[in-house]
Amino acid sequence: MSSWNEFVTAALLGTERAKLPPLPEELSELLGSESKLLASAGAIALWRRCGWKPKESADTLLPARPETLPVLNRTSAAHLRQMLDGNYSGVLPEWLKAVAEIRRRIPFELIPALLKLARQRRELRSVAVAAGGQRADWLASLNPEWNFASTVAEDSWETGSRDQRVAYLQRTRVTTPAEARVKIQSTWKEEGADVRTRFLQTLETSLSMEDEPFLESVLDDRSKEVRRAAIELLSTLPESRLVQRMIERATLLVKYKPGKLLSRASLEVTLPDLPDPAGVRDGLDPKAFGHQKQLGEKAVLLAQILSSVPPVHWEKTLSAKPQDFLKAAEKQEFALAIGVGLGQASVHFRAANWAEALLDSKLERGPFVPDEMLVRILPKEKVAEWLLAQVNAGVLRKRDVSGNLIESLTRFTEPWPDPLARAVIQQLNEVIHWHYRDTLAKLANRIPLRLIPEAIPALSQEQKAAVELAGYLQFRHEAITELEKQAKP
Amino acid sequence: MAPDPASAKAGQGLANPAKWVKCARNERSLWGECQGSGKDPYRTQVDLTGPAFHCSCPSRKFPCKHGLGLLLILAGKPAAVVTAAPPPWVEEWIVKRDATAEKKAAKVAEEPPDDPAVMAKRQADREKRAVKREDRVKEGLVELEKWLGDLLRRGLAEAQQHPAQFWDGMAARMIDCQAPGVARILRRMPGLVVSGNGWADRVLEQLGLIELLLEGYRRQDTLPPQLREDVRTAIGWTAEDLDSQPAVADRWQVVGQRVEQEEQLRVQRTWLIGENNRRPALCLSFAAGMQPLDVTLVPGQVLDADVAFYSSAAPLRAVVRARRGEAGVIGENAIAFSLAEVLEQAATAFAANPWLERFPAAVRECMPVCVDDAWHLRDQSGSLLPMARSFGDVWPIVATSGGQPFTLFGEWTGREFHPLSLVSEGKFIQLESRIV
Repeated sequence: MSSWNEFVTAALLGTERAKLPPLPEELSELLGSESKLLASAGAIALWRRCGWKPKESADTLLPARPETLPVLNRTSAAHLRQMLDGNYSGVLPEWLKAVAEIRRRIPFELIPALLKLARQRRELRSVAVAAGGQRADWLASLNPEWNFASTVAEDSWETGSRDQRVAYLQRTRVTTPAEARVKIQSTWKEEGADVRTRFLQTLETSLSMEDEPFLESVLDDRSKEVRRAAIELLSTLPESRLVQRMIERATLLVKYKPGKLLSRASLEVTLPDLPDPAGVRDGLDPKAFGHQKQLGEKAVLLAQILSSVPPVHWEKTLSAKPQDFLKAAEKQEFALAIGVGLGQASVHFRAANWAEALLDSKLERGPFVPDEMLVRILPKEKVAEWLLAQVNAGVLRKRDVSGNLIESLTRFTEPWPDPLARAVIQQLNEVIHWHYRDTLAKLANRIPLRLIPEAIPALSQEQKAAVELAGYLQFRHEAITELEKQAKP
Repeated sequence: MAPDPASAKAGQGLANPAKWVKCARNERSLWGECQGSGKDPYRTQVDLTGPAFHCSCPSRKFPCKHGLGLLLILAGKPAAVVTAAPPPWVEEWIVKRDATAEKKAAKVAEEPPDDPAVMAKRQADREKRAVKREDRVKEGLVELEKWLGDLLRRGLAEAQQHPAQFWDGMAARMIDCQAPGVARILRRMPGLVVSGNGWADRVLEQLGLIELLLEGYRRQDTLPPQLREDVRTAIGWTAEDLDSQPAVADRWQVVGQRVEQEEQLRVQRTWLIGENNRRPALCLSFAAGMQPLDVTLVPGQVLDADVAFYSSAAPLRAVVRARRGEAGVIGENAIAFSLAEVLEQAATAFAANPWLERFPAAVRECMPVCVDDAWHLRDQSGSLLPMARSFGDVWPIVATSGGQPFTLFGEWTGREFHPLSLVSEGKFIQLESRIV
């Protein structure tokens, strides 16, 4: 009997050139003598189609671990489907977090679409994994694109791309910081400067004095960029040798006497000399950040030195109260350099009392240390107060400067306190047309859920953007409320 | 149910009670008023028995976004829909619909005896048209046979060099001579020719099918009547004489639905399986342009209904006639077979009607596995069914399986399996379709 392949070959060549292969007996009886190539092909193709035999395989999928959490109800599943389709997807981070909090999980069939989205939107990753239950972890083990969701991604350090390795370090820093540092050191000499820099930056998470000896050794690195990254980190460790050296330098430059009953506090500041080799090693550079034009080269050095001195040092050694110290600094010739240095030091060492004093003081900080930077280290209530004052002062309405304020507003990690939320809601109609939909969605995410019924009627029916925003708030309210309902036993 | 993804999205947007001035229902219908861009609010109504839609908006899509939105509210927030007596504009429409339905039924029941002379003339005209078409088809098929002969003499290797127009030209000719079924096969050829490894296999198989069709047509008088019907349907005659076919009563599970674009036409295939007779049925719906497809068969439902099958050696294509009572839902009761049984059923059907393109496969206790870089369906015995390369996203299936066997439903072409829906943990899930 001739095979199907012989017919295909004959067909490729054409009957002018190829001889017609003989038909299998069973078929030739059916077709008779006038059968042609095509009819034979048709008959055999049909024969093959009907007699199709499946291949076999012993491969199966390793079953996923059983779920411990109940699945969401249908309404919530429909909400998720809508968000995955690109409607109101700004609600996703909050919604997914709420899913994990009420101890539920999303339906299996929607997990792949969510993981696909989380691959692009980093901020969704950890919440997506939590809301996806065991199944998300299991899926991630099957599809390398989703290994961010997998708890078993050990080998991403050995074989992963640069980003995967950085992600691995970031994860490891949270749980076992020393292990991540040892990993970085193990390949340190082989990596390029940009990779070394990215790796060093991951140490910011759980940074401690245990990292100091390594960082101190990096000050001798051949790349300026890498050294800068190390200095940034060391400058936030009050016990580090770098900070101790900076304190020594600063002590020579700053003379301060606290005020007595009848006399005011006095401050005397001398500018440093150009740095010696030890100073250069510590990153002192009169041209750092290109500030020298506004400040003067030596003033830049002063600011740099001050920025690496924990402000609490002045309180301890010179009995300086932040307000008095700043008041005294206002009149100094190099007031701007002192303001910048102290501002950066407050941020480096998270000195909230100094940050607050700086915000209240007249001491200049130029464009180098904006208010927003200092506000970030204040306690939550203080941040809210400051934001409220800004909003009430009409900063949102000033188009050119509102960007920073909006960033601070959206950085606020919890829903706004009611007074702040109400103040923003009142002004939404006026500022709405300046902003991108995404920005508005971020603002809308910070309005506390229970104020949404107040916010919606406050929005204009005339402007398209306002109507859209009302729809967004409505959806957010419905979707989160539906989850809260399921939290009740 | 939406005519296109844009409508689905717009419908979602309107699935918000706040967008509606009023929305209410009674047992029979659902209605609401929605402020659109016009002066007066649009009046939207849905006959829930259909479902059928009516709306005063100017949209040419059907159902329009208002109708969809209203139904979505009913499904998602039934509390927002109050039960009320229908206003006159709803009442009128429902009465009109019932009247039309009755009229239709009455017309079917007692076809008014027309003037015998007119009847005879109509019959004569019909016959004349039929004879004329028969002649044109015959003429066209003779031409096709010659063309195929030339093609095969020179060889497929040479045919591969021809541009798509070579095949499309002949397809157009087949349309002209009223053999659209043959044209459909020919239109597939340019794609198959460039389909890579094994293209000659696939091309020859299709050409073989055409040749069998020609052969069948030549010998149609000697064929059993049902196979003769299949030959004619495959060539492009519309099957007639459905009324004389007995209807099959059963609880029919609507197991899957797929819409494909064919030229200017959207073709919707809806697959049914009888709960008791375990027999598959295929309901087709065609729509050109923005025309609506049939929305009365919703995947996941179980209908108590009479289904009439078109005459065929492997009866599959059917029409749902009478429906009784409320629809149920598919769950643990899903009808499914072992892989061996499915292949056996399909082989029998393909053998009886060689021009059958696909067969419904409801496979129980199977799971997706990746073998040699391609996804397959694997049953408990280890047999593999390759999944269609054209099938988009296999991950929702994998996710639902979780490595546990479940029931998967899809279309089997004899080469590959195209998944359509699945039942997992007693829940019916429709796949792929982004249109709600």
